[in-house]
Amino acid sequence: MRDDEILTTMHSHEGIKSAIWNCLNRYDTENATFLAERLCAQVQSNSGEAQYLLATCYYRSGKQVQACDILRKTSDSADSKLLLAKCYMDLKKIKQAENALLDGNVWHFKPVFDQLEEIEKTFGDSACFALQLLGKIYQETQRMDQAKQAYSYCLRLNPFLFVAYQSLCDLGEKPDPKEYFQLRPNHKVSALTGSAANNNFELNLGKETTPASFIFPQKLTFGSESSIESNSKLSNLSIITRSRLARLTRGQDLLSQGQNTFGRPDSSPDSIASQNSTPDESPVITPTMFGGSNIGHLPAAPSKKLKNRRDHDSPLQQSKPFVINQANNSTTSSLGTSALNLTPSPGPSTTSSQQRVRRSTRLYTNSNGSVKENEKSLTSSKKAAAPKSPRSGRKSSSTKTQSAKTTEMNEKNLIESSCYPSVAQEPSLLHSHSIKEFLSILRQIGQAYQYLAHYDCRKSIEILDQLPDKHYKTGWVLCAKGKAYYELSDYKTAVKIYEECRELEPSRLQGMEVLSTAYWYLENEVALSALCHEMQEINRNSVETCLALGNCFSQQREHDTAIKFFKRAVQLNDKCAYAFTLLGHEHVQTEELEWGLTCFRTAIRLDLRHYNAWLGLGSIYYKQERYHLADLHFKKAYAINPHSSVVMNFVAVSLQALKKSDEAMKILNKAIRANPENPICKFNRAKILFANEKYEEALKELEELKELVPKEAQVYFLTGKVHAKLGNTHLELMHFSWMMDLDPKGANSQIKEALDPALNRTVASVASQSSGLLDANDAAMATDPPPNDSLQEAAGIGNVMNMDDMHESSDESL
Amino acid sequence: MAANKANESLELALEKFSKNIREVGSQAIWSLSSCKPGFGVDQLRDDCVDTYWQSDGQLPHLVNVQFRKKTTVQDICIYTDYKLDESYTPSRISIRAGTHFNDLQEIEVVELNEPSGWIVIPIKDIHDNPLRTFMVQIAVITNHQNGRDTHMRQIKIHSPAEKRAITLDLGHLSTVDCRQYSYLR
Repeated sequence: MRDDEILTTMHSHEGIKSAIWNCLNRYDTENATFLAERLCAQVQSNSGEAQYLLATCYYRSGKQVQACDILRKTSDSADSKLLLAKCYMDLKKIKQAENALLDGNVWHFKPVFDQLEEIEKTFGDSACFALQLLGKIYQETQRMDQAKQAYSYCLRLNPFLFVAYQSLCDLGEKPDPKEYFQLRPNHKVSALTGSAANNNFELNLGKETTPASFIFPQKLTFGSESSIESNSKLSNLSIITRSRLARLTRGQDLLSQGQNTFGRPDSSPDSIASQNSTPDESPVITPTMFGGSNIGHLPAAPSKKLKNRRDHDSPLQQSKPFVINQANNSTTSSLGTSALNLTPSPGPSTTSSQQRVRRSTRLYTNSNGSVKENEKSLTSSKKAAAPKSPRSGRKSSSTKTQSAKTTEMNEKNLIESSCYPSVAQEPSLLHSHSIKEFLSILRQIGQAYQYLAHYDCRKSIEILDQLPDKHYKTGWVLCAKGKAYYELSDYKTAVKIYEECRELEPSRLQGMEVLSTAYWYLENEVALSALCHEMQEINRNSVETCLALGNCFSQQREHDTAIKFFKRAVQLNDKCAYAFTLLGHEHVQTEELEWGLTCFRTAIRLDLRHYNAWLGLGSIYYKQERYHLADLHFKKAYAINPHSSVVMNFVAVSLQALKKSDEAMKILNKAIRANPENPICKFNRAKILFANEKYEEALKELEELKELVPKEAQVYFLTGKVHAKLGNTHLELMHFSWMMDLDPKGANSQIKEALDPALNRTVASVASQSSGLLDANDAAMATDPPPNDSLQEAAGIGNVMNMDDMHESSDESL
Repeated sequence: MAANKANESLELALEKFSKNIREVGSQAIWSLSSCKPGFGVDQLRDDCVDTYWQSDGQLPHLVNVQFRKKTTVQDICIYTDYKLDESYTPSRISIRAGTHFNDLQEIEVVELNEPSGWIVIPIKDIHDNPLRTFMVQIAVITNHQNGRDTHMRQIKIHSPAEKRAITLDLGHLSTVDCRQYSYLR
């Protein structure tokens, strides 16, 4: 091929590639696939973008196997490797996915961190995604430590990948959101947002817009690093923007120093704009921006101003070199030199930018937050109300010492600043403001999620409540808050919050399985059925719908159907630990304890921190009376979730079964402190006291319980038993009759177990005379099928004695 | 007698509606004293009243139900239809229970008169509780019109439903407020 032919081919392919990306971006995968196939045929070479493009089209059409076939031949570029790994993961071929990412077994013997660094080097911009995928692979192959490292590395590269943060929390780590959700000096914008080539946006090159408005695809590199001589030409602009942003923190009174500077700023966007003749060429900051001179050739006027500034602004010295560096670097990079000039001679652009920056500060500062708040919130340990003021230019290293003065200066300037020549730089600031604001929201949410993952629910709720309204009133946040209340066993509040969420986002399914379980706890059949109907209409084949349906049938005591639905849920997503837990519970209900054990164990294999499954296992062992095993598992659940009073109850019960009453009491006390509304803790405490013959204390507990749950028959039953032991026959009978009132059927079966009917015929006559509530009980007993109604009833009201007493009296009667 | 049975079946139906009953036949091993090929246990347990078991031997015809562990049996439901089966319809059924074949005791005898539909036989022990047993045997003593073989279309065994999910053994809690704290799902 001749040169010009080659050139034309290359150019035409660029056009076709853009056409294909255009189709993909407009969700027209069919056309894109066809075009990509033609392009591949045309290009004929086995490497390069055409193949990757075709593979992308296949992937987006759901044809992972085809995508794999293509990529296997061409996985040279980082993007191809990433896509190949993703396809393999979707096809559940974890080993191949790992090989694709790590390029064979070469690095398996290196320490993990080295491997991760290799990945960063190999993948460059898409390293964060590769690391996230690798983290997932490690998680699925039970290499948890490596998974944690991979996720953590990934987050450091790109703080926007919240799912990686979630995975870290779920693995049991406590990653500090402040540390992760912030922009760092070494963050490359191309890593965060993808390079210009991939993002198919159009560069708007009107006069009004600055190069800064293209900011996003750029590398955001800061002063000290020489990597500023970046590949991407647009990086220069970003650097300048950063420098302007940095100047937000400086309280410079530049306006007073003359309008001359405005001349410059006017020219600068124009100059920049004029550079950008074609969409493909990135706007370059040429020396013209700085008055057409090199660093050494700054015009006199600006430097004067700079000197003035220097005089006025001692507290900001610290930030200056840093900031100025950037400006310098931008010029240097545009000029191709690498000299890092630390002297403050940035030129007029910086001053003007500063002014512009300040203007935008005023414009975009919210009435809620001032820059002061901004500073405070950054330095405070807890993220309080998210300040809405612009946070641009804030770097972790530079701001702390200058806070107070800066803010004062800033505010002065805000008042004093007059009109600016153009709004040019503002979009860039907006972008950066929004990044900072966004990251602050992510920090808060991250912290809340971390607390939730460690079941520190009250703290989580506190933080969620502090989110700004616009974020609070969203599905994710409300679901998280609902889950927090759910974990606190406060099902009523949880339900209320979930219902609020459903009103906001009626078609949201994620998190609704928790709502269905909350309804199950509250035994609200109507609401649960309604929820199931609605979820079915949204998506019959989602895991959450199947789980909700299973809960619904379980509620209706139709456990076989419930099992069917939970099995369906498992088929839909065999990595869902909760589905296995619920399935395990249903098996236990249908007495299939072996199946129950298997299901719970699978749930634990999928998610080690799934404390419900640990509890389930423990309770099966408890049922089988293997108390030591039960205790072991309950303690494991307790270790994962030490805040739940229900878990503590279980632990206490198993301890009691092992005859360790003191420890049991200690745990119960803790449980009651954690959640005073939980009647079961008190009930268990009363039971233990009764078992240890501390009747007076037991009575005290029971009195309190009566206040707490006046309608609970078991309370009266236990009180009756205590009185029996104490010999207060009349009180005993009174309580038993109350119990019968409240729960005739339940009481009936219990009394049958506790009594010997033959014996009670003698006692019953005495009891029936003393009890005055026979009539009421007659009515209550009418529905019972057994023929010996009257006898039973009398026996029931009669002296419900302990086995010991019964034996004694039977001896007497004999 | 029939009226009594009808009442009981109504009650039991209501109880089932109130979801206190579970069918436990699937946890047991079923065997027959004899059967015609193609008309055996599968047809007896297939949830379809059109297929039936046909015996092929001497009276009494036996259906043996052996559980893996001691199970509480609340009632046995048998579907027979005189209109379809005439002389094959059982007229006298004896229910026996015990630990194994040599340890069975008769606990219930039921007389039928041209039944058509489900017959519910409640099973109670001497204390009038549902019976806890390892094995149940349903014996057909005589058929209508003195027929030799018998048809049974469906048999179901019911057990009282266990307390819900995994809970601490606190007895039967009567309020939702308490119950919701007693398990963790």
